[in-house]
Amino acid sequence: MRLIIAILLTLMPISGTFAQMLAFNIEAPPELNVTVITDGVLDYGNLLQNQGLVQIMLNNPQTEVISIEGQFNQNVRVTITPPAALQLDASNTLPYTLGASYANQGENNKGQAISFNGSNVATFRIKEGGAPQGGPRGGGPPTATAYLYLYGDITVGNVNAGTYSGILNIFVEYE
Amino acid sequence: MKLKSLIIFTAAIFSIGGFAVSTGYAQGGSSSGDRFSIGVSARVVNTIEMVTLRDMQFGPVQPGQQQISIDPLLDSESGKMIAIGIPESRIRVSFVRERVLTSSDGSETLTFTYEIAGNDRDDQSSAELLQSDNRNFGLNSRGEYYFWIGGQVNIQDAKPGKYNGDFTIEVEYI
Repeated sequence: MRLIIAILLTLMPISGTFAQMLAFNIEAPPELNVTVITDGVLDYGNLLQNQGLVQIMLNNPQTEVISIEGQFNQNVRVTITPPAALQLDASNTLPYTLGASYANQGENNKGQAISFNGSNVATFRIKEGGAPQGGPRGGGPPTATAYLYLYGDITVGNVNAGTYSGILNIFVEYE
Repeated sequence: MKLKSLIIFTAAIFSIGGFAVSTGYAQGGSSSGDRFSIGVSARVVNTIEMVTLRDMQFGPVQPGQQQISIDPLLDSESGKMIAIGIPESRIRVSFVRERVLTSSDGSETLTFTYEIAGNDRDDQSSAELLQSDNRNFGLNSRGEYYFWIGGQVNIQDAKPGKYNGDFTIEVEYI
């Protein structure tokens, strides 16, 4: 009989109320600070009719440079919407092919740049290779700066003389 | 806007998670983002274009003045032109140094002696004086070469009136 009571007590659900205090501290990464370091115009200069392929390469001085400052250990996604062509008017266009790279080792150094490889989108960590020295005032994870390089090719065919233009739209966000 | 997004995200964590204990910090999910634009431009030219950026500016001639002089290296009154063509290409520049100006009624003439300074940079002070004979120059990486036009005219014996003339400069690829 004692054994049966003991087994019943063991199998009975243990009732009771338990409470636990809970506190979250959800920290948002610091806002991305995107700055166009260069003049904001990818300028191919003066070109001749039927000149053919004209390239601004990564290492050319005309390349546009953009800095992206944010929390060093966060990934950012950069989405570029290039124009299909620079336009004088509807019937006079210069086809454009985007060239883009990023450098995320903490330096504005084209030698460290990694190509988007033909894509218009790239996701990368703001800083590879460890945390930068120091941190923002008031604590929090340190920030770092990555660099975006924009360049590309145009083709000049039998088009009218004039000034051709287009817009590269860029969106940078934390992944 | 970004702060508002963060608050909504925090509330969702509490609601869905209930009393389940979550370890670590939730990061990311912020809608922080930045949208911006870069212009892309190119100028297509026919062969070599000469564009007048500024005509020579002559101030009023004072009675008794013997000469009008504009220094192409120093004076802001100098005319300014730009040659536009294939970047880095070599060009030959020639011009007629002396041109005859004619009064508006056609009865009088003056001889204007041009002086030209050139530079592949848009910098008058570092330009060099050009000779009237052919010289070899290079367009810069943007396909440009700049000219500043000045000169002198003797007006000692000139009669009052308005005098007009032109200036011819020839630029060609080598």
